[in-house]
Amino acid sequence: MEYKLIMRKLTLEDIQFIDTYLRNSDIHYEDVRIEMIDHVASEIEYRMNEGDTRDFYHIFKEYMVENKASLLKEGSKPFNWKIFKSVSIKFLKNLVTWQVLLGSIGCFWIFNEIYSYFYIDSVWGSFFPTFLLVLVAFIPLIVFGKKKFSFIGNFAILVSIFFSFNYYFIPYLEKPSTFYYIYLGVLTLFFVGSLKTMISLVVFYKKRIQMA
Amino acid sequence: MGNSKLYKGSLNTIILKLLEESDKMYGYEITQKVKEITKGELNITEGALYPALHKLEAEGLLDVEMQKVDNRLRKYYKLTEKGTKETANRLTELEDYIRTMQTIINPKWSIS
Repeated sequence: MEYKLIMRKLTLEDIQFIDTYLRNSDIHYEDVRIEMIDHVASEIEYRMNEGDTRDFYHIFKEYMVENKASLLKEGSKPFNWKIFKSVSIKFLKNLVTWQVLLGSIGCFWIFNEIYSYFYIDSVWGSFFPTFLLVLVAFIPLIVFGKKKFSFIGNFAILVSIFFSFNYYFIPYLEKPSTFYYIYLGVLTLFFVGSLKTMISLVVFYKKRIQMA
Repeated sequence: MGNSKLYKGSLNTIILKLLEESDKMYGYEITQKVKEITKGELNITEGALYPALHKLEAEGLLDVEMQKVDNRLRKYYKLTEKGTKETANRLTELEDYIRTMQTIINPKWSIS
């Protein structure tokens, strides 16, 4: 159902005004904001073409008074449980792919080689994959700059949880032990799994942007 | 959304049903279509619609297509193969639910 009878359209300046307003109202995720801009603009155009002769700003103001609370209800939250659950499942599924398993074995071997060559102790050794985990969270920054996307934002929350876990295990990592090697193995697996998940999310949004 | 508590549980099925009937739809179009079909009785708010669409997308039931329309980007939703199968299941469930409710509320109207 396309509304082909609609004659009055919003200008690029009007759209930019809505964009700025929503951004200033804490709707930071690009994908969420794009959808809201279209929703607000479509409703304003509809009202204009239903006989409302007032200018854009008056109709926009009226619309926001009526709908701002509903619009911001979900859109302004950086954490969304449904999206978080979805990216967590995606991450868990990635952990058992051959690329991640093979990559983890390779990285585990490389880490141990580096540690023994440079005489790095077990506590600092455990920080290396954790440090790489943090770098994973920076991939979207390099690709998209300041633009934030909901699935990536929620996945970054999961990555930061892994990062914070590290502190709880420091007392148990004083000397190389079976626990240390298992811990290093799990961290390595999480790093490679996070890398694969983040790359797939970045590619997903990149394609979506190119699509438009 | 009017009568929100009663309709809330069926929102996902309503969205899936509408998308089953058309090739692709965008958010605002869905709200207008629902308003049109129900003659204004059911008004889906943005706060209810978009989280539902994002959930269905996250579950792999909906696919997304972006298009530039009138100086802005528009996100179209369409059913995936999994979504088409799930729509049939959920519609059957909803029909069963309606039938059961009719039996309880007004046995004379119930459909055997």
